[in-house]
Amino acid sequence: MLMLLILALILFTLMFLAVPIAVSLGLASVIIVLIWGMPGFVLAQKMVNGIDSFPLLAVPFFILAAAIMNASGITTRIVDLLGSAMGRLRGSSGQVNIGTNLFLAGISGSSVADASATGALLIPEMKKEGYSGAFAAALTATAALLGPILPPSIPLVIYGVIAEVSIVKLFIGGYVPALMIVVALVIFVNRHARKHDLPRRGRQGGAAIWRKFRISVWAMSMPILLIIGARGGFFTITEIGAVLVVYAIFVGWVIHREFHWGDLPSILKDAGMQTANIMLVVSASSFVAYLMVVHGVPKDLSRWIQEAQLSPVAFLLMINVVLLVAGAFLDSTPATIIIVPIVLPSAVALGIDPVHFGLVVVVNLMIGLIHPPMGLNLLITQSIAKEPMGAILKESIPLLGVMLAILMLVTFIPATVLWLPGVLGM
Amino acid sequence: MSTIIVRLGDILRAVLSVIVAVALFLIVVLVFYQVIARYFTGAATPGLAESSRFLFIWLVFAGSAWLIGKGDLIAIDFFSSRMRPGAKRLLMIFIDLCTAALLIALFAYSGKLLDVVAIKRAPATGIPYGWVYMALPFFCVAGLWFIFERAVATRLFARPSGKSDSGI
Repeated sequence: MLMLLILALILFTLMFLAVPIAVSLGLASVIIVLIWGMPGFVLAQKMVNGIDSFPLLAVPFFILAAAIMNASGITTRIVDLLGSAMGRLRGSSGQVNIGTNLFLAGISGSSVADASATGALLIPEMKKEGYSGAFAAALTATAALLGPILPPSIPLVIYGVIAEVSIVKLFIGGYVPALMIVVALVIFVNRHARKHDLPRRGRQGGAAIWRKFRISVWAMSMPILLIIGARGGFFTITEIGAVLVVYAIFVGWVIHREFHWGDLPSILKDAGMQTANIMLVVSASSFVAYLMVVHGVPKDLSRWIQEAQLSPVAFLLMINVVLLVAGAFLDSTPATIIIVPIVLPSAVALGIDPVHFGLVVVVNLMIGLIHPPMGLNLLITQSIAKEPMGAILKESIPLLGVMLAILMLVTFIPATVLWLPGVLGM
Repeated sequence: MSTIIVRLGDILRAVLSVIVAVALFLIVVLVFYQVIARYFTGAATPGLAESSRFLFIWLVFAGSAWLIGKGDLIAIDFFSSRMRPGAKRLLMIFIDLCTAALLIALFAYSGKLLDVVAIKRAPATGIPYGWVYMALPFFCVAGLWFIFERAVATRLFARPSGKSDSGI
């Protein structure tokens, strides 16, 4: 226990001093190895083995497919299409923001990437339409949370690898929670637009919408390709990633004609670097997770839950609190890798489905992106909106309330996650 | 002296960028070929999956070394961004010292690891595991070089970083 306390103390001290998360994890592990005289090569081996996984290859593929799609102007096309179709709604740019994040979520698996892409285009647009910059920033940060909940999702891939659960089932389980978030945000924005009497812009003709739809539909059908490939058993999740990369090149090069082969090396490099940044954290977390398991933390937790006679509802409530706090201070990747091996055995022992539990974990940790002190999505949208963080936080509170309400539904109604995989016979 | 160090750093950055881009390209090709090959032959090709995994390990560690050079590893800078310049300089020195300490320790540990796996080969491709695990000491050496380069080029952060990007 003393070892784990020292590990946590060093880890959090280093992280708060802005030492990179992977370095904090690695250095805390090295200190433990030195103090307790453990064989150091095990740390090196765990770091390499932590990323030696075929399913993890899906991560660079999803990042690369999204980067190729973005280089082909997909974000602009989706904004253009939704802007035309939703123009008659009051304060339509807010709804376009949610819709764009929904469609981008089906292409990329990263909330931060979606917040940057949609924020740059839609925050200025929303301000022009009469929304406050702070509200536009808060909404964009919240709507971008769809990225890791709707497939393809990088956090769900990482959870699937750690928990040894079907990533396809996790992906399909993410659809209903994602749609719940969309519905809730659409209603919220609609009420906000009415309250502030925002204008309507008018709708374009059906022919113009159809023309824009025909061009955008290729990119927007990536999630459908993903489901068909996964559900049909044609591909593994990693293979789907590779197929999506080839599909993205096809759409960008042949359909949109905006993808240039000369751009490919820099797109590959950027996607590779993004992957390395995430995976170094996975690599460094692996030893910490190993320490937890070797020192019997999951068993101790299970024993404590038995002794305390905790019900599944009380356990899930406790997990929600732990994960919300963890999400406030830790990046989702190390939080998933360190916490999941500790709590999953207890969850399974209490009869909680690991797929359901995976979505609870991911939705929880994603909420950390929109509340202090880290709130990475808020920091990104603040830099675009150029509004004081205090004003953005004030606008975020009701949206945070919406997300917490959805988290409670996802946590306590397992069917929100398990119904769709069940319908699809999984 | 510092110009030569920065120039060598630029070459190393360019090499790492090429490793990352080529590794990712090859991984896409190998996995996509695996899909096609299975469709036509109906047979699994474990060698392709194994090669992809090993390339991925090299991608991650080469890319991570490049990220150390750019100071772009994921970090929580919520509090540090509000610091005064003097304190911030001390903090940046501290961060680089922490990173260097980790890299030195990992370099030592990976030497032992290479001894342990010296005679082992991957089951499907027969690739010696030493080649795969070599990514870790390579990451440590490249990362340490960048920390040394940054210390020299910025005189321990006394002047703005002489960051350069020789990306491809």
